[in-house]
Amino acid sequence: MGVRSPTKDAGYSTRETKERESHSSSTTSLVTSLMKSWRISSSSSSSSAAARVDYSTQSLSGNPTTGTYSEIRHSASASSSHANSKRSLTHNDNASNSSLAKNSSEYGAYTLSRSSSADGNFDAMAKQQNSTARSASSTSNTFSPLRYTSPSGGQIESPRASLLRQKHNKHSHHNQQYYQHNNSSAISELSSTKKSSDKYFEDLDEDWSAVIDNYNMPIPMLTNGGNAHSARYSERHSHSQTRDAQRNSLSRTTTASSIGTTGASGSGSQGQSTQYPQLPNLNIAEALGVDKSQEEIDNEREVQELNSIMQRITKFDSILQGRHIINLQELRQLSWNGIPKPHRPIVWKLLIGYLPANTKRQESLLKRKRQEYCESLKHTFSDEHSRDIPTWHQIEIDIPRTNPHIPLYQFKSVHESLQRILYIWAIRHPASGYVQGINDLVTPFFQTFLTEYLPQSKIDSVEVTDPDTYLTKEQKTNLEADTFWCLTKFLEQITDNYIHGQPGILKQVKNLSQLVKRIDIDLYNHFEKEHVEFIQFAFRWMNCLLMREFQMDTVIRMWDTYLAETSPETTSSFSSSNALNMSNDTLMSPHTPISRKPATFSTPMGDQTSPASTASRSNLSANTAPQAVASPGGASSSDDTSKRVTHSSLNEFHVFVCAAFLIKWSDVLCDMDFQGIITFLQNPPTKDWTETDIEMLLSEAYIWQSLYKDATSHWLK
Amino acid sequence: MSSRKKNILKVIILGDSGVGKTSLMHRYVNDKYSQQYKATIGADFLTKEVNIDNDKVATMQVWDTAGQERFQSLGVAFYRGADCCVLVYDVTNTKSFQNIKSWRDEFLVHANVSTPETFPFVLLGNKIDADDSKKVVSNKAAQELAASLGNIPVFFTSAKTAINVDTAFQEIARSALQQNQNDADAFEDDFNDAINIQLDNDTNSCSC
Repeated sequence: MGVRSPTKDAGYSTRETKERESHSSSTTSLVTSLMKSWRISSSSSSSSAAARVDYSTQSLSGNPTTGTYSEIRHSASASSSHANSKRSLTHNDNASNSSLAKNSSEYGAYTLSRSSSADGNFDAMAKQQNSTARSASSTSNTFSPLRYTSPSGGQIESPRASLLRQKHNKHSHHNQQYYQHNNSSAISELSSTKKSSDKYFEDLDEDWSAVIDNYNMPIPMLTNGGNAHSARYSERHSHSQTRDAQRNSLSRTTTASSIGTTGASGSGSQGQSTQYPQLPNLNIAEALGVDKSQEEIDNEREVQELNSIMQRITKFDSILQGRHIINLQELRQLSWNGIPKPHRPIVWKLLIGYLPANTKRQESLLKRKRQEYCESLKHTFSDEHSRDIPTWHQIEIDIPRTNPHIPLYQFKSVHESLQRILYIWAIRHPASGYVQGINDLVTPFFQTFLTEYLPQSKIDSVEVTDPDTYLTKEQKTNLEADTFWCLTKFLEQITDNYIHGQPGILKQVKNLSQLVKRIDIDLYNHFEKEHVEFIQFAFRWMNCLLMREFQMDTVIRMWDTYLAETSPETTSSFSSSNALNMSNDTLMSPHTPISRKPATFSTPMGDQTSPASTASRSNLSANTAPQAVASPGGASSSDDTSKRVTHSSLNEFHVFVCAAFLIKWSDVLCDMDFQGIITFLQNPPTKDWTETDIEMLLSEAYIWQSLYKDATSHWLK
Repeated sequence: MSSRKKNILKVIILGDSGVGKTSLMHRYVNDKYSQQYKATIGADFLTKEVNIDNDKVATMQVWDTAGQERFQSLGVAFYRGADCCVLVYDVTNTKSFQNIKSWRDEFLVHANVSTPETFPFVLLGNKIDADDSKKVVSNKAAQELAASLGNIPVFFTSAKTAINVDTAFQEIARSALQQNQNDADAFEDDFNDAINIQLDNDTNSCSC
């Protein structure tokens, strides 16, 4: 990949690149189909769908000799083509009616892919593409951030393409080859990648122990993770070479099989392959559906959707029940696309690191943590403890204002539970204390864990039923304990948001503005012109993780992804807390991240809170990747990438979600003045948003993160 | 020169958490009251066209801020360019009354106003619909405080029952407009000053 850096540089000068519009439109489609591959959970095996899979695989295929392209195309088409074509059949009407698909006549393929997205979420991308297309001088080797290697451009792999592939690999559970051919190696690879970021949460562990120290609470040591650093470091080195080998073989496998797919689907694509890659267009989609009545199509779709739900449930079942040690990496990948309601409570607890991956230890841990919470309760509400009046009062006045539109949060018993949870959290975390907005963040946990105690048929009525009607006293305490610990784990990931001065939020707002400046300069300039400051609307987005912007059910779906995005590292603090019992587990589960170090009682906050230390930490991780240099071919860049992807924090991903959310309204906002913009963003029209809309948003955020990840280190400080 | 600014009056509402800032704003702007407001995070924003003394028309931009102390570091972003600051306390909450002075100081520090001595503040004692037994801040104490803060106007309001809300905001609009015009004049002075400074600099550079 000697050409990597020049092409990368060229990639930034998108506006100097002239490109055929058809080309840019088809690449946009590709990105869209990639996005859908993350979004659409699983493909059904119905025969008509299979036919369409063949077709769109065929029409998606570019030049098979362009390795990168066919790989991407393969993963995209294999996982999403079914959904793609299915949706294109059913949503054609919407597309042509949609004002957002205004360029439909110009962009046939583009419109098709657009038609499957419920909304014009790609406006900004399209905008960028179009301006790329319109602007001047043509250079054959330059790259638009959204354009893949042009077949005529030879074997050059766009860094973004590899990024995309990486990201995709990480999250798509459709990469059957990945797991079939590389099952064990993939796992060890992932775990070794993960280990490289062990240091990251060291300080948070310290914070945790300091809190315990401050309050003399009877909490066992949760801190670990320092001691084994050097050992793991060298382990990672020894892993690196084999990993590179594995990755290469993996790439080859994927490429080979993708070419195989292309070949199997017929030679029709060969003619196209010398041209720019094409996606199936509207006519073809119609031709496929022409014999079917609308009713049949609807039925078929329903069957497919049911099948896909069933398949997802089965997948979750097999991960959760199949093994003695739950494969958290696999669980994360699967959860990113949404968790079925019955599985949600347990999966959330696993993802956040409350429950250990070792199923045999789960029960004892739950017992212990719940016992601890009980003791906390006793201690806090005994006479010995002098109540922190301002904190208590602040929580007290916020509880009735928490989700006031949901009946669940009007019940007295719920008020009492939340008051206890928040108050205990606040006094145990004096560095941040209770901050408004945390009362919002506790509710998804509370509500989700409540469903554990409801029969499956009544899960949907959780928002209207008084928990006191179905919870025993003990169950209620257990529920509170689980909620408390999960909230604690969750807030650990975003501590900087709530400490004095809220540096985490200020940084995120700044990053958002920088991101928008790069993604949608028109919107950014318009904001400048109207004197709109990002902090004026985005502060709340960060402080409440967009919870105020969406309805609760969509927030919970969003949290499936957010919890899947939480750093795997924090999963270690609990699972390794029982240090003596751990050695066996460690050996048996190499994919479980284990961090270990002696308990630390050193001062926690100073280091962790400064943005600079975060920066230096990420620098460190970048520097400790010497294997990237040694490895041959594309593996180096992708290795590098995957590591940084692993490092991505929840906050960071959230910024990309906010960017996607803001840019979604770009066209509307650009026509508004200051007042209009602020008023609109205070109350964006998301009342009718469904899970699909949220999933689209998350996927877009994911795309932006993939595209800008490399660049962010330059301008996100 | 500042024609755009002349039409817009920026008003900031400050006060402790839960004193009724959001309710007051909604009562004034939409003439509605709800028990279902969420705690304000950052700041909320509403606008209203106002007619001052049946004479001048302006757009009032009301920024309703978060009451929790932790959010005060945000002040700068929202206070800047304000024409009037509304200080709200809850007549049933002594602490919120005691904090009024510090809210005022906080504002003056962050807003960077040109003439702190004359900047218009308006004091509102909210929730006067509450039972007399619950009221802990006397009107007299409020008036004394208002006098000590530079004879600022004080109103006793209820967002819930709409008592005095319109009257108070009429006064707020009047003060804001006055301040706005003062500022515009001041800006003109500044502009002239700037030219002088420029000339001075030129002289200096010549002498080098």
